[in-house]
Amino acid sequence: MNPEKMTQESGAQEQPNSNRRQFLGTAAAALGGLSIAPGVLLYSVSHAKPADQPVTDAVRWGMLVDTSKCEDGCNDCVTACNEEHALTDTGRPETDAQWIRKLTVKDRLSGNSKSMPMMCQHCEHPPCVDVCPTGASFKRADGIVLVDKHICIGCRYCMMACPYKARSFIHEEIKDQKVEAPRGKGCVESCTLCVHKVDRGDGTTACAEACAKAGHRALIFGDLNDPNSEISQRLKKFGATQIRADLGLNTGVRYQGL
Amino acid sequence: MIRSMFKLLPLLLGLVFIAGPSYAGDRVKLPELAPAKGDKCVEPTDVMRRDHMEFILHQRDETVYGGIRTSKHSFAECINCHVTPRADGSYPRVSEKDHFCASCHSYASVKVDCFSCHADRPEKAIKRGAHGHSHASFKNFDVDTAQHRLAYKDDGSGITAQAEGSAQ
Repeated sequence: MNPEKMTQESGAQEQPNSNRRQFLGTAAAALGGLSIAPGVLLYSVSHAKPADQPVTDAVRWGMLVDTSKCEDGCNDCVTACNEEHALTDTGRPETDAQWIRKLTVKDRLSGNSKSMPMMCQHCEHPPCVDVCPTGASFKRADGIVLVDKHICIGCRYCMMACPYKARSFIHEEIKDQKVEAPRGKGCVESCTLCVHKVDRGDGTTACAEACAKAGHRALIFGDLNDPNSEISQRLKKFGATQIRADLGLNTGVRYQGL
Repeated sequence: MIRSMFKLLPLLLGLVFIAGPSYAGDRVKLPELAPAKGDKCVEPTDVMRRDHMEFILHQRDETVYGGIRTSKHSFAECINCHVTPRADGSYPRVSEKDHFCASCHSYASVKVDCFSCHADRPEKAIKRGAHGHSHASFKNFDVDTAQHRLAYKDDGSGITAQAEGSAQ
């Protein structure tokens, strides 16, 4: 057998749906514009989809975290997220929901430390979706990983599977939920990439808004499939790290300066 | 005799007919539905009475999976129109019988589970406390660059230990 062909075949076995993955990988990492001529795109990307049309994979929402701009001690993204989704403090922080949290990472050798937010990484191949026994954990066509709480039975497999510790389980009854952020006891939840804002066409998230308001602009939300979006341009120019890139999840959240 | 009974039959039937409404007075009272905003609902009343759950269920999946948030069969819009303030300006909760949903559902003895997650009042009616609390947000992480992976700093406090401020 032709060795080249064999390699291709074994590659395809290891990586199902490899064509799509390669396509998205190219779009997300290299971000080469899919153009037939300069300025003429093979597809057009509209950020404000028609309200009565479902989301498509023409867009892939993502977030860029510039750790060099993320200020140590600033907590505005977390506060904004808590307010946006009415995540309340039960007084028992061990079980409080965290959709986004601030971390300080330190290099043991040099002592260099960095501050950054951690949240659902909106993987292209989300382990939470793989393990969900009911199909409640799912990825939307536009790359946002969500929980269908109507189907979630609260088994918490996804919490075990997530390498980023991104999901929270709601242990207690919740009152005064936001209309746009229904949450309830017995379900798992995590960052929705402000899906209600995305669907509204806001083009940003609560955390990114708060970060910009604080003057840091460490969080850039945008379409990874659109080569002209700010996030794509910056990724193309400066590159970025995926946390636990070794897992091959192709995360939608990328970190610069790590 | 039989003929006279036939003559009486309309009268007897009439008596039953008249007795009907007075008999209904002893039964559970029909719910008094709270007034709604606007002139008419998105579907005719008899359709909504029977099939409102089907509309909501359909729109639910459209919204969750497709991000379609049109207002026609949206659950939030049901609440916006049908949950209106009382005379004193307060909004009824679903645990109270004058809430639009609760009034009929308690009459029909059908439990609704929507409101364990969804808001039972319009957004403007929900008063929330300030969120100025310090949420569990800071945790000590160390990056072991040699291993190229994130590891919790072993400070003996365990994964759920609070390290607010101590990371600074």
